[in-house]
Amino acid sequence: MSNHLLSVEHLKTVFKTPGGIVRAVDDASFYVDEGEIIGIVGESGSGKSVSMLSILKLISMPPGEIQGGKALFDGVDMLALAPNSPEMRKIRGGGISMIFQEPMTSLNPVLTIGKQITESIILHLGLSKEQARQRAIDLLNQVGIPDAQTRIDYYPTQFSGGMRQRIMIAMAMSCNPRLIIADEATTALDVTTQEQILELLKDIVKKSHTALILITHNLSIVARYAERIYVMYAGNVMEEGKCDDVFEHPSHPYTIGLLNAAPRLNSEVTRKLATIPGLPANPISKTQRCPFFERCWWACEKCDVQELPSARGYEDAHQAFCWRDREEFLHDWRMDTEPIHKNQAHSPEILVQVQNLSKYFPVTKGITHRKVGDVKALDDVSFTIHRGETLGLVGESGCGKTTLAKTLLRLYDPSGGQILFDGQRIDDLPERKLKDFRRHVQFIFQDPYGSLDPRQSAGSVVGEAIRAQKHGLSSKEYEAQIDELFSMVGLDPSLKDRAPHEFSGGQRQRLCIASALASGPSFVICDEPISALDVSIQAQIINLLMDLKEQKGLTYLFIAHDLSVVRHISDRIVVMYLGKVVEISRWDQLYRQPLHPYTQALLSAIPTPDPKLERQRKRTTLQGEVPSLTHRPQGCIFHPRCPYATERCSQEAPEMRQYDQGHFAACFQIGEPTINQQEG
Amino acid sequence: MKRIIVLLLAMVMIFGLTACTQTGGDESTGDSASGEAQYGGTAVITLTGTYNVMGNPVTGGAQVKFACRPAIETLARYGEDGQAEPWLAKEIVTDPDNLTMTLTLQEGVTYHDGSAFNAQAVCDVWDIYRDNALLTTQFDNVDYYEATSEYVVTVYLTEWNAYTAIYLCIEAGYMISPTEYERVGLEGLNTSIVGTGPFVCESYDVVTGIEYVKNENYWGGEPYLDGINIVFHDESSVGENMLLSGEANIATWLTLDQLDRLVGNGYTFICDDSCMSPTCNGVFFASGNEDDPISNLLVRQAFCHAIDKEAIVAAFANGYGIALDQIAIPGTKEYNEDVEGYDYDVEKAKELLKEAGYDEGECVITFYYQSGEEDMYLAIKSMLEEAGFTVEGDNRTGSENRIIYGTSDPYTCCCLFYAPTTIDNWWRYFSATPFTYAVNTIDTAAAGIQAAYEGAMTAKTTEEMTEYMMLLQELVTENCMYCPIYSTPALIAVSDEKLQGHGIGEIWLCQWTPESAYLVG
Amino acid sequence: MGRFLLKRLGQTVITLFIVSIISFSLIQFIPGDPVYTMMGTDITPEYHDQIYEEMGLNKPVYEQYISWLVNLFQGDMGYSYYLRADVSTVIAKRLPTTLCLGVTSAIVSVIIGIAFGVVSAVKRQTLLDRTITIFANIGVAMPSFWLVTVMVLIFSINLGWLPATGYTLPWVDLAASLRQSILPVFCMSLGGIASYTRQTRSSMLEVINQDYIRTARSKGLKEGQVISRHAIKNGLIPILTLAGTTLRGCIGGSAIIETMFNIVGMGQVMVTAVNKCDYQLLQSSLFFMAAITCGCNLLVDIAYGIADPRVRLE
Repeated sequence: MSNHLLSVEHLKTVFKTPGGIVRAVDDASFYVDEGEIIGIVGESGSGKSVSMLSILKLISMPPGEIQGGKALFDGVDMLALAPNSPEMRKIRGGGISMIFQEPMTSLNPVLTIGKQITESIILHLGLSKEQARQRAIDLLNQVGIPDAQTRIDYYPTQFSGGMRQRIMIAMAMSCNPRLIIADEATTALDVTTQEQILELLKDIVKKSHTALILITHNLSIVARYAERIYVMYAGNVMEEGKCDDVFEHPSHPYTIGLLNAAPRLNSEVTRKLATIPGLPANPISKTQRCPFFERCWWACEKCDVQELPSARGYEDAHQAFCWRDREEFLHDWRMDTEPIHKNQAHSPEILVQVQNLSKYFPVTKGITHRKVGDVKALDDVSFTIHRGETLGLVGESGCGKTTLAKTLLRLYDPSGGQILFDGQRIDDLPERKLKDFRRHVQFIFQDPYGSLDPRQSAGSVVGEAIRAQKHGLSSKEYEAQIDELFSMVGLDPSLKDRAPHEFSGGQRQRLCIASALASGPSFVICDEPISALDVSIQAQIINLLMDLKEQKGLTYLFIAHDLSVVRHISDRIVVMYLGKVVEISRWDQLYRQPLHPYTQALLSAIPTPDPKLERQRKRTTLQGEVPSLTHRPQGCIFHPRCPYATERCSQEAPEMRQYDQGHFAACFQIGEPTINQQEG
Repeated sequence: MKRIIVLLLAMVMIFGLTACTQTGGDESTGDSASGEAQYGGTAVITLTGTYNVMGNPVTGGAQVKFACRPAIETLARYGEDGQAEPWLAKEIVTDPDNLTMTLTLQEGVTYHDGSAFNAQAVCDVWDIYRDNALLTTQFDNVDYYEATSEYVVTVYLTEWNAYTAIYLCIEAGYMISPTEYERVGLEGLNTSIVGTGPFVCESYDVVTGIEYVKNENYWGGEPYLDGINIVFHDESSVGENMLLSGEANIATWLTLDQLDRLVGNGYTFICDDSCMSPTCNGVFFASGNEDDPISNLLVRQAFCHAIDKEAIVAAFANGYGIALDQIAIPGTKEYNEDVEGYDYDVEKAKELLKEAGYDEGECVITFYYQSGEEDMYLAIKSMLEEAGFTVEGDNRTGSENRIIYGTSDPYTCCCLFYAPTTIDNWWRYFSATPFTYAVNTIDTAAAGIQAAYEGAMTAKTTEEMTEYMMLLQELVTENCMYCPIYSTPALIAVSDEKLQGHGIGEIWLCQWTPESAYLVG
Repeated sequence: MGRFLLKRLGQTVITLFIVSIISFSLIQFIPGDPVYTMMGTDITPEYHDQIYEEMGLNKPVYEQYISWLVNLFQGDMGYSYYLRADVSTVIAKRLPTTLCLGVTSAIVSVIIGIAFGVVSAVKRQTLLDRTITIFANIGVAMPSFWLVTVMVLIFSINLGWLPATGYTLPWVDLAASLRQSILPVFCMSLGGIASYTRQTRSSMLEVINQDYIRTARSKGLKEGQVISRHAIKNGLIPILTLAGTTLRGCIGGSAIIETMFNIVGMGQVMVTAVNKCDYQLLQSSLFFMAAITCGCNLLVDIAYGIADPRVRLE
């Protein structure tokens, strides 16, 4: 026990806020051995990031306070050191280094990256400026920054997000630390970039025998990379153990809930997601009871005591903190919920038809702002959406999905092509004739925090569409409609006088949904509606959306970058890359038989929460990054990164061809199509 | 971070110490009793306003004549009795019967530019004034003048005027340098202060002021002071502050409020003698229009009865003035004790108005006032309206009024005037056009005022002049030519007692004796 | 960087041109006849007309403007009737004083203000921070003429430590110049110190909460190094904008200070020019001061380009 590299025992961190004392970390213990990769999983508020920041004393001490515990690193108790003492600072960067979540803001924009890397090298390794610079260049090469010799003098703004995270890795590795902590290091990145970064990280730490702590909310990532995992909830560790053991035999109700709530890529039948009921715990009102008590499926009187549950040991190093033995609930943990009915056949009625839609943004130069080129955000996009179906739209950053959504809503005017809604052309309608159209088409945004007017009451926000569209309603009727909307989305109508900031993230998203439904639309565009939410809440919202679709006969365009969610919710799927559609298919076809190389790469990049499967999977990692829209490749837009690219691909752009019933792709390398038709 | 703050604090302290140790660089040594003249030191005198005609004093106002005195001297100076006393002209002989005036000049006097001061120079200077039309009335009765010898000037007159000596030796007697005039021309003369005085102008800036240094070759002997600085300032508080902080010795041309404050702080009001030519403030009746109410004597008399002079003195004079019923101070030789004047009697005013044919409120008069005079205007207006007048105020700007009621296009109104009560040609205000821009309401010839005026002008003896003066006062009051109200000091100057022997404020507001000024303490 | 400079320079020239038009037209709106106001009203109508013609006031407005502009480029800024000297001489005499005082005040404001701001931000919510903030808020609200009066009352009149008026250039007499500078510089810079403190504090607070500061700390840097190397450079970028405003204010807005301290500077001479209706002096000195302001703005823009690479690279 005492020869762990890092051993944290009974860590307690609180924050004194005006609203009360927030118990961010409430008796958490974990350890890391040399060269080991562990994962710490939890949702927001679980205390996973705070515990790492606490041991490095990086939290602001008022209002934060470390109330107890020990953190032994190489025998030294870090918690006993003062935050700015030389010993602490030696450990930071020299012994333990951290990689943070937001690569866009974690680097100082006014210093060159060379300066920022060499700074810590000079500090910890005592090298001269020249030596440090050389070492920095070596590191940059190692992490895959091309042209490191010149680019070492560039500023962070000149790099993309993925590149910046590589630079952060280089910085973290620069002083040969014993332990690296990656705090949600890939959450803000694209799927393919995320895969690259994680692979890189794994390679580096394995080669240098450095320990790695992966902090994430994504169970699939830890399934792929971690050797041991800890599951945290509301400041406590709920379960810990070897990765295989935990995934195969989850021993805590919370772990079970997490595993159930995430849609799977490989399940045959799509079932409704089993959600964890209730809301995440409020850290201010935390009591001494088991923190999961209120939301637990299997809670009983044994659990209702004012004491934290003690550990129950199972396999080697596998323990869970629960009052009940896992035998009591393990048998039916994969809950059989009802299967979802998917639209297998097209309903003949077409609701939305997009034909050769293009949207260009002009690029101007000089004082006179003369146009020198175009950013082709959407380039000749065509697809149809049938009434009552859910069309999923998948793509990474820069693929044009948000632009498409906004153009469909006529928030942008198209530069070319047509949009037909219910048979009527809307791309050339003047603004005043769009009022009717707007009633039928609604939008749910990605950010539930920013998209609600903070100055109106929740009821007022939701009813805005009603007020805009329907006149002559008496106030009683109006209130009744608001109440109905609230209950439809699962919110208590008595909450309608509160301000939006008093709701949690998931509740806010429900408000957004209610607001979208207020005008009685037939078509709803959902733009990444769940990516900002916790896993347990995501499942609730997904279920809600699907229920509403059934009840109200809605048609959805569901935009997301998470393929597993899209697979779960959609009937058909469109894959976009850099403004072009590369593949269209039914939901099951896409995953069984992805045609386009990009789709294949996407699927390969997404991990599943099954460690055994992950180890066996053959994966093709994409090279390079998503190019920027201002430098679109000639010919097939995917050819620079495509493992199958040929000479022809760099000169000609492939057209969409149908390969199977309802399955279309645009690629030269697929083979001859079975059906000789093009998507109409 | 801490180091930077410490460094900053250190710098601030060093600055502060350097600054504070410089205090008292100007203090002279020794603490001699007042009265003992000492050599050395530079006096500082402040002057409100900015002036751009210092080198040509006759074109400037009182302040210009005051400020140029250390460098430019006059042929004669006012004595205590108001007569011309010799200065640069060491002897002045007037012959009323032969219509001549002979001046004998001081010898050995040189201008600051090196040229000689002699009779020819005097004639040249007068030529400059006369030919360029800088002064006209002063030369009205002059036929011609010539330098009869190197230091003697004879002036031949066309007719006798009792004030010839004052006209030519004081008002036209500013002895600028003809050589300088030749060199820079009339325009350049404005900025070039060259004269014969005890101090030489070292620098002159229209906005900052004048710096004078001692004239080693002064004909009257070496002056005590090393230099005099006359500091101009537009902002009125600056003069007061300089005096209070010890940077100036005398502050001139202050306001009554400032005077109050400074006297309260222990400074001396050096023009305290109320007989030193105070200003008479009053209302002048200007007209050309016979139908206007102002042209009616009864109306004017009603006006005078309606003014409560004591109240105005209490409100405006700050304790430094008295109520007047003539343009003269009681007790001086210009004052006619037998004249009664118009006392404050509102009922009488109303009666007179009715007699003139105006009912209550019917009599409309226009009252012209400039900005800064609003308070006085409002006070008078309220008094007049109580007596049944209706007053219309006219507040046009100065440049416009010249066009409105110059002599070519007369305009009827009352306006405020400020006239000297002694010495400075005070009786000039009794002529037909006493101000350059206004005509009197009454027919001065018919009233006999013109005759009395001319009699005083051409009097050959002092007794004759006095006789005419008294007559003038009588007629003026009888015909209600003006409504004099109260007196204020002509020059408000305050001293810190360190500068002595300067003569400021003793006889005439523009006249002082820089050559005998010295610093004490 | 070169293109950036050229672009800014071009914009400055255009701005100056517009400023010249505006300063010329503004003066046309001053009420009163300029000849009478200048010469006094005791002049004959013929003399008035003569001067009117001499000054070119009877020509159409655009002709006056063009001739003025042309003269300006040749260095002839006209002749000041009131001050009886060439405008260029007048400006040359007074500009060094204004610049000395203005630049000193600006530097003092910047250094002291930033120092206080950084201290205030780093020691947030402590007593020191609260005191500094209170004084900064008071300083921003204080009107300068009131401040001058109070300072003169205390330091010149009651205590007699410092002179109430006057100014000498530092190269003429350094000790006297220092002594005379203290009150005017203090009064001019107090507002600046206060606003810099507040601005620096809020900017630094924003910066200190940024992610890259946390990264810097996690590398093991000393707190002082974190602030000085990482925080300040970022935090000072918005201060540069403020620096432009303060520099403008110090150089152009010194009229009150100069008048009350009787200092011969550009501000005071412009006030005199307005009062005495001295067209030529007013036009040229107005334009001159505006040109200096444009120059200051250009400097600030360039400084921006140097300090913030994002601006340079865009």
